Amino acid sequence: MKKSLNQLYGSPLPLVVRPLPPIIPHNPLSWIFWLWEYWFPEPEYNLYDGILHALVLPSETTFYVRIDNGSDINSLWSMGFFGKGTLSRSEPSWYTRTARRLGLQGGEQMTSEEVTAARREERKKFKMMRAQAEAEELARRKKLDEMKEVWAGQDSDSVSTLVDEESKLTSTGVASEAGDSKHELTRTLEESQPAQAAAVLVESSASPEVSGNHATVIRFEDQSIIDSNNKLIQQEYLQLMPQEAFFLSYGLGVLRITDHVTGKPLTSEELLTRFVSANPRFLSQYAVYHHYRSLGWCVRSGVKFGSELLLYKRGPPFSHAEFCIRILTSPGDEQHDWWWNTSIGRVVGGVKKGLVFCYVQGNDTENTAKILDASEGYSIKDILGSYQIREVVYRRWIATRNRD
Amino acid sequence: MSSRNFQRSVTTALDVMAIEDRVAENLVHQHLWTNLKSLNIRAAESNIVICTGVPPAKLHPDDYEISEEYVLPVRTEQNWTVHQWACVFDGIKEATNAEASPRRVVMAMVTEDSTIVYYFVNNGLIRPRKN
Repeated sequence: MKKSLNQLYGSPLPLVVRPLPPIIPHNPLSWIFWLWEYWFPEPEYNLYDGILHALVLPSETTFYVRIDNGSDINSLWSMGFFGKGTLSRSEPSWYTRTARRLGLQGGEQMTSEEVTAARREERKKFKMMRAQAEAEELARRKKLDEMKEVWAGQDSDSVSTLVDEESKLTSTGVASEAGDSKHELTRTLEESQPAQAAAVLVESSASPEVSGNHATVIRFEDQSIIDSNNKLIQQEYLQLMPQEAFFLSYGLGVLRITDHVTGKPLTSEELLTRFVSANPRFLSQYAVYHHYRSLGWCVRSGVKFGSELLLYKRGPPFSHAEFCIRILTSPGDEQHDWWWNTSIGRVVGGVKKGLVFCYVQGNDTENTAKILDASEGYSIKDILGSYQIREVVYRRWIATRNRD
Repeated sequence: MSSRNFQRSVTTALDVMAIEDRVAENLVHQHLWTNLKSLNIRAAESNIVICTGVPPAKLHPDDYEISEEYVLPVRTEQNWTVHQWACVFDGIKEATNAEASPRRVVMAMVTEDSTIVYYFVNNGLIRPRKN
């Protein structure tokens, strides 16, 4: 499993790096490779061969970059986990999911959303069974108490019968300790792994004959997404947030972004003008994004956990995110009170992630004005270089529980 | 009641996409809601477009049954006050000619990376769950 993940997502960034043989100073033969590469660089050495073509769409006051080409989507997702499928949790998987739901071609693979759904279904079943077991246990206890009350006034003989009765119940392990039966239930349920359930789901729905077992419901809403050849029409695309798009186009130089109105490719300066005009904090946010990407983290949006960014060690398929990043730009944001710290700390602590307060020092207002006022030339590198980043890890500490 | 159906296909929508279209599309194709319509309401001196639709399952375990929901599309950068929410509830009541305002509104927050986070905004206190 791990190995196949490594094969699938071997490259941490959408770049192809070709190793060269070691250079030996006193052996001119070993120079040849280097000189050859210098004079005749192969395109893939400088540029990732799928130059990405995207459209910038102003949506209200915000810009985002949209990628429709399937192979580009694939490369950007598998090499660094950039972007998000507009109709999926992260990796664009809407087509596969929907094709299976509608019994159409293209739904042969299992998606992560479906694995989660299968696991949730299992948990729901478990909770139902547990509730049932608890209700039964409660009823039994009540009955026993009633019996005890009835027999309380009678002779010792019947009391001992009652004790027998009770121990019998205990030995069969049906009732007695509620915890026992719960334990039992947990164990049996643990044996039926969600992964297995998921596998069964895939098997049963992979072939169209079997998928007939599940009644395929085609809603009124689905009619417009199936073409005349009974094929599903793709409705999903990959969306890059501005920081990701700017990192890929300016930072790595592997993404070419085209303006959707003029159809012309945008320069880094033109792109930056749009991003800063829509978001006065863009420069600070980009500085943080770039900072963590250059330190090797996989950086994604953290909105689901009340923070700006999430840091993954390698990426979502490998493990859960380790840190939530809250970006604080000076001076205003540093004045948050402790109530604020506490609330975000509890949210992040609840999902077992570390909370990082990331303080950015830099003058967004001045730099944004410089970028928007095109009359004066500026260097993106200098502007970004003027930003400083300090971080503080914030963790709730409980004296009785954190002794080690 | 001014309403229209969301019948637009995403693949052709290379022009500017309104926030309510984004939310409606997400509800229909990702969360499998049906019968999506838009409802123009007047709240706190501005015009707001609300999506209405029917989810495929109960949204909350305490719900009696599946019923039509009101979805308020917003952006993460916006700030919302209790007053504005109250106006939204009143605005829905007015726009639908209903006797009472809905007991809740689902707030759909659209973010830069296309994630939409949904939150319940209840009209006043609701009874806590029985345990």
